Amino acid sequence: MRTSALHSIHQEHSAAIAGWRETGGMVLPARYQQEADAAVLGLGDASWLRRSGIKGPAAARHLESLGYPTPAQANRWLALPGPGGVIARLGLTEYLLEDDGHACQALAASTPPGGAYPVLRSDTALVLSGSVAPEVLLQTCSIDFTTISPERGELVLTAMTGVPVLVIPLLAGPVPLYRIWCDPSYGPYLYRTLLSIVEELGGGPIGVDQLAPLLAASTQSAAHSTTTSNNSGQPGRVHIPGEA
Amino acid sequence: MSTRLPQVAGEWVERDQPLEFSFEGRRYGGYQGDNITSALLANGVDLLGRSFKYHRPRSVLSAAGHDANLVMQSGGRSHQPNLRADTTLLQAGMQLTPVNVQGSLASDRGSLLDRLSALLPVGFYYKAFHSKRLFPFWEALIRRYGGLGQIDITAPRRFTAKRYDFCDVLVVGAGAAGLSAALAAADAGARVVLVDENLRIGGSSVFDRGGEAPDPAVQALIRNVERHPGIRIRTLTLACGYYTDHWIALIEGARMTKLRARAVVITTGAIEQPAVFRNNDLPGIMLGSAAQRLIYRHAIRPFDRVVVLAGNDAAYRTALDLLGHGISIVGIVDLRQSIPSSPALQALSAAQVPLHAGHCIQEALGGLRVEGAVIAPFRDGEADVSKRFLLPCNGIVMSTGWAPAGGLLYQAGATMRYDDTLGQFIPDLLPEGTYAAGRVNGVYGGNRMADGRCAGLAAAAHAGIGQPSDNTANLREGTAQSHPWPIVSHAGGKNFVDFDEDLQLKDFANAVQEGFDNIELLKRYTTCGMGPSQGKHSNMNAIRILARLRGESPGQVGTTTARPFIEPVPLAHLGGRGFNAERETPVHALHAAAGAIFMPAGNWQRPEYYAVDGMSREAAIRAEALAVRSGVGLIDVGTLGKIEIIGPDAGAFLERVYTGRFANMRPGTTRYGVMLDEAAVVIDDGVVARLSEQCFYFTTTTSGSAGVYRELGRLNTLWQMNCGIVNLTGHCAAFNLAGPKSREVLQTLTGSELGQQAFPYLAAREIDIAGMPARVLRIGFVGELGFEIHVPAEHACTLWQALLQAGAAAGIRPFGVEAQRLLRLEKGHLIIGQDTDGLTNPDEAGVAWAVKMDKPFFVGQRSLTIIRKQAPVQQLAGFSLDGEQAKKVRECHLVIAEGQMAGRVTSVAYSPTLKCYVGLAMLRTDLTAIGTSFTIRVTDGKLVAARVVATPFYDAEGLRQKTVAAEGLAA
Repeated sequence: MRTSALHSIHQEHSAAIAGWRETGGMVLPARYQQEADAAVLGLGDASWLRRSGIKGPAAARHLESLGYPTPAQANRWLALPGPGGVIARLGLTEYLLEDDGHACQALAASTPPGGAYPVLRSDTALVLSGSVAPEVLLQTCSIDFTTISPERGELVLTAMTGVPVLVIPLLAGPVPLYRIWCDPSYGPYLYRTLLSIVEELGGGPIGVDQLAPLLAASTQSAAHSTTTSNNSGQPGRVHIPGEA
Repeated sequence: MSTRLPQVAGEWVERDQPLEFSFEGRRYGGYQGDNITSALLANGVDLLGRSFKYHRPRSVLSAAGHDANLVMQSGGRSHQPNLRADTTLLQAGMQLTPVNVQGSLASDRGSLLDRLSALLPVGFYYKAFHSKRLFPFWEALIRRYGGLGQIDITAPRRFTAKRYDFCDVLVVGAGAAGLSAALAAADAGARVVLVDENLRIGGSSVFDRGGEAPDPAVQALIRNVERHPGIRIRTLTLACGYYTDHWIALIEGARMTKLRARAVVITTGAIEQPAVFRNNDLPGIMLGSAAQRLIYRHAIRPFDRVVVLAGNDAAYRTALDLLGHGISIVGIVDLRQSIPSSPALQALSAAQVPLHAGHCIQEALGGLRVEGAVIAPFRDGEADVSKRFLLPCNGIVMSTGWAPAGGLLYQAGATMRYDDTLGQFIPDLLPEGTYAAGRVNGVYGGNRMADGRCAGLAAAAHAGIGQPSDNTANLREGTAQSHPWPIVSHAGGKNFVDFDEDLQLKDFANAVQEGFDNIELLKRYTTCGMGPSQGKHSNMNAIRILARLRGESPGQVGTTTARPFIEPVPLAHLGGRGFNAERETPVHALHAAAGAIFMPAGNWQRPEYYAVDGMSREAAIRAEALAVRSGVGLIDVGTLGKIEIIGPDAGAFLERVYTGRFANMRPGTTRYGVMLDEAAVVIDDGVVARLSEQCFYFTTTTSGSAGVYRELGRLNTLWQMNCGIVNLTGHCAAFNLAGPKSREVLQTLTGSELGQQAFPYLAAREIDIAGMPARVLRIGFVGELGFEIHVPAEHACTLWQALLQAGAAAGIRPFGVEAQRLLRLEKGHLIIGQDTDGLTNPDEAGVAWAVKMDKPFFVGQRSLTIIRKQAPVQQLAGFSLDGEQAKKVRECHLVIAEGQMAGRVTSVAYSPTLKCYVGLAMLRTDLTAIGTSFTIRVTDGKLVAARVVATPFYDAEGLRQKTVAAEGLAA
């Protein structure tokens, strides 16, 4: 059984949790008694998705050999098949894959060539949602997210509340979402700090039942919007060989 | 006496929203939109404060946030210290008292100091503290009188959230120039933020009317700005600091915003300056702009019979504003010999207002309020006292000149020059992306809007939006706005230059005479400009005085340095919410549930020990250590840095960054590694495991992990070796299962063989533990048979619980950092950063055995070669302590030999296994021979005897960790 880095916080909040759900080998809050409206301001734990990384000069070649085209530039991302799946290019030669297991397992099972090095990723994955989410970002991060283009598939590597994070804004879906990843050892601190600000601003935690469909819809919407906004087809949704 | 006027067009007070408050225990009424000053004046309360040094009666001077003597304390539930009465909005229920008052405002016992002013000359503080003997006396006295307000230390802590913000163009100051700049930039398509410290926008254009109705052009401008979707208006917001790359600190009521702009337009205007004459500080004497603010913003008539002291044309507009609101002008006293004709002058002449050109106010008369002005002819900066005459009045208005509100420009890096025509410092060279317009730019009158528009367009263009204006004309008027010498000497003194610090004209002459004749020295010696208003009313006159004393121009004297913040800022705003990123291992909650007492280790939280009911901290730690020695213990070592290096050059890379040899390691083995910096200082250590031909996995110290990873990345970029470095520190959990029974416990969770042959000491294996893929290292930091188990963080909780369950029958006990420190000390194993410092080389640390100098290269090798040619200075050595005094010895206590420092204790603890105190100390080399006695000076100054002993203190042969003896013990 996998355990979210936020497991202890979820346990602390168990009285406020209306139900639990096992997903991706992880037990997470399904719903809260007073669940926040994700469209206004919510914070959720999306750690159930699986993650895998690869880096090195041959990393892109290896991913492409597995059928995963890579973003053409650093600090860009593409959608992977499956709900919420992404492949993010974190630098010149480093990639993060996250999905429900399909791509990550394929990568883990593969034998990288020389010059491509697998990277264990146990990141804490959070989702900040809603129309008030930008205010949370302004209080915690010195990046101007209004200049980050979701249409171009841009991602941000920055610090939030002093914690190094990766952020992907998804603004094309039904609810604006910001997907946030951090080192799992910082996960509890980041979650607690964000939640305190979210609650101060009238929001609250959201469970998997509300979060999972939003995450899937927003990621795919972003993928479609990026594809249609860019004639080069880059970035956009990844097409797996053999997939319809 | 001051009173509230009938409704004034454009007033800020909302008469349908009355508020009640108290001042010095008496209840008063005010309105929403009043500030504390205006509310008190409306109630006829004119005496509002006492000066800092002499406790002289004070009232309104600027009404613009610079009245440093009008500071209030608000009591009751909304306790707030040091509120500025002239900018703090009135709130219902405020319980106000003035600060710096002994007794009441009207009867302040501290006012005795005014009569003793001759005993408090310039440089008093320096002179008082010059005598060492009297230092404590003066310190106690000055501390009693110094400081303003009281902090309620029982008040609940309120977190003040900071915030970032962004825009294309920031405009600071919403007067005519600022409004025009904002509108021009926004019309060009820029995202504009317009900030102003006042309740409403409009600036001086709204209150400097010359007796007329509000300027329709300004009113239209305000409406257009308010309606523009591209402009965000932030009132009651003070731009307080200007930092690199156009970062501006904005102070608002509840927080600080760090705003980043692509370009900034400074339209902060000018600050009216007081004239200097005897008793120029009496209540009822104020700046012309202060009177205008009170009339038009708060509908206050501050006096009814006034003398206007003029030095520029603005005085005449002010006089018309006064006249238009029922204030009788006893006379206009103009410092200038000839007065340029203007519509305002003609209107005042028509109203038969007496005009005294070429005259000055030599002295104001009065006690708690001004009662008259002594007028004298004024020529070449000197008053002719032989022709004095008295004008009875209850108010004096000073309009003699301005100083630019240029604090932000200075901070931005602007170069200012003194313009003799204007009588003002103006921007000469502005940094890229910074623009100035309006009065701060030396543009007064009707050209301010055009100036603002040019600046706004230029700023937008700098941000990549639109085109700059093609209007390059000089928009500055050719007439002086400031009198060059609004200063009148008087034998009786009390002609104040700095109202914050009660500095008189003669103080400056005395300071210069004593040799402090540079503007920066003068500032520090006199304390001019060092009060709460930061010289906004005093620096310009101080420069003029120094210039005259040195026979130079103000431009040659120059200005002092302007630093953030330009106004006092609550510390809570600077502190903000207080982000302090902490790391937790994945099993943090399980530690807490087991009673762990946490301690910070780097930025991690680690269990120091596990509390046990009825057991002291020391007893719990010793019990944990004994459990490891006699049975089995489990510690979370997930905070160690965990780094993987993969590729054909991985071994060669490690050879270069560590002192040891790694290229020849066989897969499945581990080796201790020491890392040096270029100066051969020990910076880190750890265990390196070779997992395969091209894959190494190694640990670093907890606090060193981030730095080591960063440095390895840098070196790999530099050396371009064929390998990749992966930081797994947070992504991997690690536990050390240690003790003679550790093997039997672990064996129950794996099908892999763990026996001595299959898994010998210093071996590394990738095997399944409790069904999870794990990397297991057989190492013995605590000196017992031990297995360090590394798994992905997501599986950590499952593994920790499985290990505890598997070890239950063997009496397994989790142990914390303190027990680990004790156990490793018994083995004489050093901790980098505790037993070493920022100068320790590997020879001194006793790890020379891990340094292979015959390698072609490693970081620090060259320095170590040089160091080894010199005589060694110190050496880490073990020691033991006997007797009752031993428990007094602490880490960092000094070793004393022949009365001199000869080292320091780096580690010390009571060993329950050895039943004595043992420790490590960095000792002078002549003290390191086994058996040498030395002394340690403990906290109470006593000397405690110690003796050098060999390390390891425990299991010198290392048999327990190497398993032979351990297996026997476990059996």
